[in-house]
Amino acid sequence: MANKVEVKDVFKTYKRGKAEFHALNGISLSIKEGEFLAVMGPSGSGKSTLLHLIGALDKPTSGEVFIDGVSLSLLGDDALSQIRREKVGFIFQQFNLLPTLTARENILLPLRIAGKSSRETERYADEVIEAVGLTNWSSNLPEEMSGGQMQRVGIARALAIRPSIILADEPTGNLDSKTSEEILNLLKDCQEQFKQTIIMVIHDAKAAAYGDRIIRLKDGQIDEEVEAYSANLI
Amino acid sequence: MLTLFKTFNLRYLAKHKLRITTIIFGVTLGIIMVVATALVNQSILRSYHSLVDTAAGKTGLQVLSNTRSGLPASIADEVAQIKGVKAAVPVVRSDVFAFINGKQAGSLLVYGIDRKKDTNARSYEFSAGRQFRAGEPDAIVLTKAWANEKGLKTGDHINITGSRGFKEFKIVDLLSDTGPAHANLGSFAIMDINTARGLLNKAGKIDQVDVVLEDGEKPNIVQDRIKHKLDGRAEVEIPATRGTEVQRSMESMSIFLDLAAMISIFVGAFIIFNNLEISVEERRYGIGTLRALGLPRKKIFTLVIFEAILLGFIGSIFGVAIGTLLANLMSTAFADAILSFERIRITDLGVTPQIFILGILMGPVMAAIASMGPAMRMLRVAPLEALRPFETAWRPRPKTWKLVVSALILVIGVGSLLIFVYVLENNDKLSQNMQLIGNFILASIFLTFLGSVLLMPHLFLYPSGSKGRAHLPYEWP
Repeated sequence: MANKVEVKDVFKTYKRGKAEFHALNGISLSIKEGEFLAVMGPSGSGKSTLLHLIGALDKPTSGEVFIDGVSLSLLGDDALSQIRREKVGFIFQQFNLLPTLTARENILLPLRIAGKSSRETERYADEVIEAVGLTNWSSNLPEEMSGGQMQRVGIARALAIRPSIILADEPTGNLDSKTSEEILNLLKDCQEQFKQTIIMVIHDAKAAAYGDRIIRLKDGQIDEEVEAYSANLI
Repeated sequence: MLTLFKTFNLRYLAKHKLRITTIIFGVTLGIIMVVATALVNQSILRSYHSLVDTAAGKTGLQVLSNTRSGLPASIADEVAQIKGVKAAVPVVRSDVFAFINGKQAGSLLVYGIDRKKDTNARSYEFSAGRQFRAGEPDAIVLTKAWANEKGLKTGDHINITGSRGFKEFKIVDLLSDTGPAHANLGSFAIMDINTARGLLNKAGKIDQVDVVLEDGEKPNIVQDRIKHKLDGRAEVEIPATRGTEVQRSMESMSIFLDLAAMISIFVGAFIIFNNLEISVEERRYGIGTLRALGLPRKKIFTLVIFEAILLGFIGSIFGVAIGTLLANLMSTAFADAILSFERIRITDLGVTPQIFILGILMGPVMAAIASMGPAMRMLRVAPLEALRPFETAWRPRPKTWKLVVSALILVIGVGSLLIFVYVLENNDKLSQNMQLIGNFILASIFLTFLGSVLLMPHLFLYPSGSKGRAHLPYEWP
């Protein structure tokens, strides 16, 4: 199967005053289309940075990130924005819902940004809302919802545009174990039903076992890589 | 894009009414003074021209009284003898109040004319009835426009207040809407010169002599001859020159008005700028989210600018409306100050298409310019900004020196105003210097406004105890 995402010798350095922090140290990685990759590692190991670079939210200091064979470093703001709105669905740990919009409006936001808000796309969005169990909450504002419900809205928003890549940053970080399991099953369904490529940053080893492959980062490099069958060993 | 504007921008605006009201107020403040100034300048000049040009007719020079008691009637004959003068037309002139059925019907500019001589200076077109006869004591001719407005017709009666109280007049004819009928914007009437003398208690007097020049005579040369002959007993002016002089007075008054307009635009722009800055900064997290979801920079820019333009437009509508009302109040006062001798009445304060368009366009332009800074800053918000929890999102770091300077300006503004009021109450000499008082109050108010506007971000943008974040925001390369 073709590589959906390719990361080649990527370095990412943050400068704060005179101090430098190397978040990624020459990491290389390939992710196949329809693969579910779990990324683990201690805080500061570079997991989120890797996710940001793949999601075109940030640019590497050196090295290259490819999506569908296209190097992101060659693209300008418009093209990068297009990748973010059409190819990538981001599930944020902090939900990142707009507080003045209802759940449904938040979910429809990527469609509106992409100018693809039509009856057909909105019908699909409503199906996603139903799938994440938010039908009765779709007209509620985020402040009226629980953490689990807000995360479901965040997931529905990421799925609404039918992206080929879903990037999830600690999607179960703020949820109880039952809700976490539901969310992980939903992501697994996305992979299996729609062949979406999923890259999930996660702390919990049990949750990481939902992935086909698990990589563990340490000091901005891949420290360990295991296939799903041996996930229970991690 | 429109849907996005409705959900992202309008929803925010609906939740922040005070901020939005402040921005609209800022725009309104600027527009009010611009519209009022333009209207006042335009209406005074227009009123003056309508008086001078239309009433002057073919007059090349005017001999005017330099005292309030008028000129001796014989001066017209003296002027008529001077070389280059074709005709010297005596006029008794005054503003009077008219009453219809016991109710005040407004003011009228009355010309008492010598029917035979006056035709040399003005061409009247009578539209109905008959013209008044020489010496006819109770006959008046009104303009058709004014009569129609008041529901009067030939044969009706009208009361006029003169120096000797009320006097009833019969409307014997109406002036068609041409030439002198435009004088004083149509609030104009003519009667026999002797009747006017009787009404106004000016026996043996006239107010001016309208001089018609021989063909080819230069006004300034004949002016010198008349001046020489009269030897200081009267003023001799060219009607157009008088217009220029008034215009010159108006220009100096305009400088004052323009300054006030400039200050209000400046203050308004500051209010808009600060509040837009705050409102955009408050949405940095939301904008980061939109960027992360794939909204390109230029659309963020468009959303911010479009929002400013919308608020500017609303402010403009209020500004034009309030500016027109203010112009009504200001016009009379300024006309009195500039043209007290001419006794111009400001009756034409209609908003012209030019002033309306200026007022309506200026608000959105002002707001768009003021929003450029915040909008440009928003362009640099990286999509990564969305990943920061709102509470820890970057805020601009407050600068202590800015806080101190802002507070200082406010204190100076308020302080000087209070000190000035105290000194004014205890110093009679100072209280008579109106220009100094005006300038000082204007400066104090300006400083107060400026200080409060500069302080605004410190009050709203930086919450108490917040020192801003030590690190820089994520900036998109």
